[in-house]
Amino acid sequence: MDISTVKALFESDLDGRILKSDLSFCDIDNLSKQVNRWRQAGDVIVFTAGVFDIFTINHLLGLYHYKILGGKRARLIVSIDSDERVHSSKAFREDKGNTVKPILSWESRSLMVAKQSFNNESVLVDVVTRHGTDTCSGIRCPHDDNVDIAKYISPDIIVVTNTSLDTIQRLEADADTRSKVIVINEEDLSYSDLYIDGKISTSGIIKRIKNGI
Amino acid sequence: MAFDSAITNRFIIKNTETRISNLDDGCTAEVARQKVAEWHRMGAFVVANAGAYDILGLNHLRGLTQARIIGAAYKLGDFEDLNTIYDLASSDEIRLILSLDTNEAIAENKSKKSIGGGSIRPSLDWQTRATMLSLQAVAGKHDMVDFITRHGPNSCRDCQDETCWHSDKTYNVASTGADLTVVKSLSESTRNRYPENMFHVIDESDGAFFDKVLDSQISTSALIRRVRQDKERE
Repeated sequence: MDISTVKALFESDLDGRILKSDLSFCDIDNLSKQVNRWRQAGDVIVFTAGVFDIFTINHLLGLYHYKILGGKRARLIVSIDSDERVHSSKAFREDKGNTVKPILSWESRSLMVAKQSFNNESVLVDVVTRHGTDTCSGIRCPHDDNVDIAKYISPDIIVVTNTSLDTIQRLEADADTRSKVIVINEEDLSYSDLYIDGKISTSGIIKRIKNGI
Repeated sequence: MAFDSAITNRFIIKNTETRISNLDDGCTAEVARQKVAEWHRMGAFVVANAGAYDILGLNHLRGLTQARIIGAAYKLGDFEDLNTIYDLASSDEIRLILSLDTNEAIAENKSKKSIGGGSIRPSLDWQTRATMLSLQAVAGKHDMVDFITRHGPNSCRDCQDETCWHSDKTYNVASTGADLTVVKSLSESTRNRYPENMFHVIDESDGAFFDKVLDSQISTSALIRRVRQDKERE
């Protein structure tokens, strides 16, 4: 069997769930139309954002929970930070393990997220999109920022972690948003590991890799 | 609304409890053999694989998918169309048993060695690695791994069965009675003990996902090397 067919089959079940905006094409309107179709069909739109650099079990548990928050008809949209945004916000930060960031490209991170399933019965993430000022061309676009995407598509539920204070403040400051904002306490993501100091996180894994703790 | 971790934990328990080797269940190798025998009685074609799966990555998932597809192709014959093979690979008719290196086996083989990226290994505990694997799916609709067993030091309590503690993961997993063991290479001891047609040898770098930031094919060792770049400069 030709090995390239394995890769093709592996990617075939993505079914267009990764939206690949780039400098020549912005897909924000396609995302908005898809959200409206789902809403008209009675689905509950849940939106969250994150980096997902080194995908961990607590990332997975978090996404499970966000989907559950939307109920049986939940559609989960995940916006993943662009490489440039991760680099500018997280590289060489002491609390993030003081290392190069991202470890993996947006393409790899988004594929890993999109491949996850919900209870091994259906897809976990219905759409993966991207945010960061390098996502689209120079024109001001909702893709520039995760809060802007959330405001643009007006999901029923926006999930943020308690460590994203700036995001929370900006969402709460917008009186027009019809979205319910749910703040998750990161400490409640409970899976811990013998070798990781505290709960499992990308930063915890990085610290173990670098310092052996 | 507070995060109710009990909800997600219920998902974990439901998904993993019966599909992960438990040291309290008796001889690890014997439990694995019973599992394979049970699948055979149900008419399934059983594929075996083994590895460390420390920090699960895209190429781990691709490799496991490949193992299931190879199993399906063996069962159907290569002449079948690819979609039929993929459908079969993501059904109960193909079962994948995975033997996961114990922490001690990884420490012995990879810790602070170039092959392991130079870092202390494993990065994650056996139970975490097993749980993460057990939550993965093929084609989004079937468990990627049907049962996770273990091999290497401390893979069994009070057991003298050499297949439990044998350091060669292929030697170990082949003893489960699987129809086909998908491996990267075959050691001399394994060649001497088992018929060659029990194995399908693959080149794991063939068709692997490449990451432009990592500037390498994605692997745990490559990822560790990237994290340690600045450490090495210090």
